Amino acid sequence: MRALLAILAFSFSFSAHSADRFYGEIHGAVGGIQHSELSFRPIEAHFSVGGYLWDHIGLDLNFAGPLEVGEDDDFTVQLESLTTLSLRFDSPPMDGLSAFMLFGVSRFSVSQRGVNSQGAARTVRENFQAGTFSIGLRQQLGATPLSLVGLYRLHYVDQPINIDSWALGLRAAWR
Amino acid sequence: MIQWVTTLKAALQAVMVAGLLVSVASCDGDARPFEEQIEAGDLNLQSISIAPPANSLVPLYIGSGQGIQLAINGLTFDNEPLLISPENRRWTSSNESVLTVSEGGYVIGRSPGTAFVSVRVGGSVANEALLINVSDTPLQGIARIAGSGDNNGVLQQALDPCLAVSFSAIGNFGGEDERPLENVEWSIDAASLAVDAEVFRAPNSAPGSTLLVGRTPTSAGGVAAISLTATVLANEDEGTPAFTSTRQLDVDNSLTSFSVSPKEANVLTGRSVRLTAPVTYSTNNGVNFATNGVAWSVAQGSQAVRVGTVGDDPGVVTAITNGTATVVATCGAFSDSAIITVAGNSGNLVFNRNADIILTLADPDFEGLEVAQGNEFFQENAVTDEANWASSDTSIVTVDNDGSDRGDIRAVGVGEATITAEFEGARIGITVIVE
Repeated sequence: MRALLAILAFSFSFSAHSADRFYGEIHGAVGGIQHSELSFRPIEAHFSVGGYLWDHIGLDLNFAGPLEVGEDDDFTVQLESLTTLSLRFDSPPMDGLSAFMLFGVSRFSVSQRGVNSQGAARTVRENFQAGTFSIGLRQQLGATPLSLVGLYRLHYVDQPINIDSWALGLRAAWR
Repeated sequence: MIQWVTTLKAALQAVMVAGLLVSVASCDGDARPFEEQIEAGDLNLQSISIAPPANSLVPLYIGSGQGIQLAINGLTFDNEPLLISPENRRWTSSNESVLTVSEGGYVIGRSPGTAFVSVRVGGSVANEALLINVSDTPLQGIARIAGSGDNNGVLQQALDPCLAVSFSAIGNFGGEDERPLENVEWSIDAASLAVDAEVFRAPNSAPGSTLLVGRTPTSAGGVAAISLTATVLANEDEGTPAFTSTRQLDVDNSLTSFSVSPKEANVLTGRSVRLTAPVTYSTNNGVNFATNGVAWSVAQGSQAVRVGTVGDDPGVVTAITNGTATVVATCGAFSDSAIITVAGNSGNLVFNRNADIILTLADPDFEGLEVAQGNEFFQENAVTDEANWASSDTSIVTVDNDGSDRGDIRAVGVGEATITAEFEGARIGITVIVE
């Protein structure tokens, strides 16, 4: 962690001369969690902060939590907490519209609650560390510091479980 | 120029950070509990418990380096017992310096001490962790021979005829440390043969245990019919001498009915049918199966079939070649039989000839027998060089099973035998007569 902080400090020191390059985003997301032929669509809230090392390359720190569980059969699933650190690459904007990609690592926990035939509930909770890939579009809203953001996020774990999400949100940028 | 340098710097920074992210992006986590929870729901699983090996004792001791396989017993909400696979579960040891446990529930003792083993299946934790003691105390003797028919320390005195009973030698390692021994040689004395008794190993039986069967009842008032002896050889590494222990057993005159089931069966060449031996005893209610303990033989038509007997797929009749056979099961004075009709082949293999092969000792060689997949022989489907060739009686005829000579036959004695070719689970046989 010390090495990471040192590299971050070193990296941002080079971006001091760049334009306004910090932002915060808030997203609502529909998650997707599939395993064992079951498919869940929990609703999540995401919050991101980040900054640009250079004009189109930056770092993004994302947090997420549950808004609503996903249900399938006798089970409910939710993404309990998620933290993702990503390196982001933005395209140059055209008429305020730009595309972006994020590559990063994430830690999160997923819980699954099942109700047995006797009505008793049992919950299992697992922690994961994953490689995360995101791709999306951002539309600048006129001359304001606000943008609309839409993205798809995929968390890769080497396990028979698929975890992703579709998110829509709002960005505020500042120097 | 300056812009290029700064851009290059930015790219280098990006690569540095990306490398850092990738280096820490090793995936971690386990989705199995989610699958298990669904499995538990499908099974209507209420609770689980850890089951030590069937012949193990309480308290449970193992030695350093010794391994035991644990199982998982389940109980449904309908109070029905379930056997749950121990594979790919979350087994944990409370002290891994004392013992470790694999994802398949295999425990290995590491150093003297005690540790608890627990397991979790889909959010259910075993009702009680299993306490396992690890000890390196050398063997001090054989405490006793324990049988599966013993009941709470009351030793079974007499065996029911033809019902195989499992026996284990219990080693004394000092104090309360008693364990079933694994390296045991079992024997019965010559007098035991008067009651047609056998000791034999069965597949998947506990290491070191044996099965014992007696078939002829002991005469009333006579001496014990069977002397079962367990011998543990001296171990120079541990400095322990050899130990022996003997247990006396009778055979009850309790058999009241005996039969073979089914009484008739049609089997394709290369295929098998399992016969069973349902029996009843005066000593207990209901029908038992003495399949493992009766003596199986082929009374007529031995070229057509072979039958497994004690310790080797007992009661399993394998069809070799076309014909009819009588398979007999014997238990003391009782016997019964089944008629097995062998017709056709397995549907997968066919020889390049249908007629029996007749040889003489003067002209003993036969070359050119080939086998192919399918119902009709085509050379392009030949598997002669890939098939596994065997003779039912190598004192009469042999067959090459190596290299390019596979399937070449040579007569070595007068009589009749069957040459079989086996490929991918299918088997076909042809009769060879040597005159």
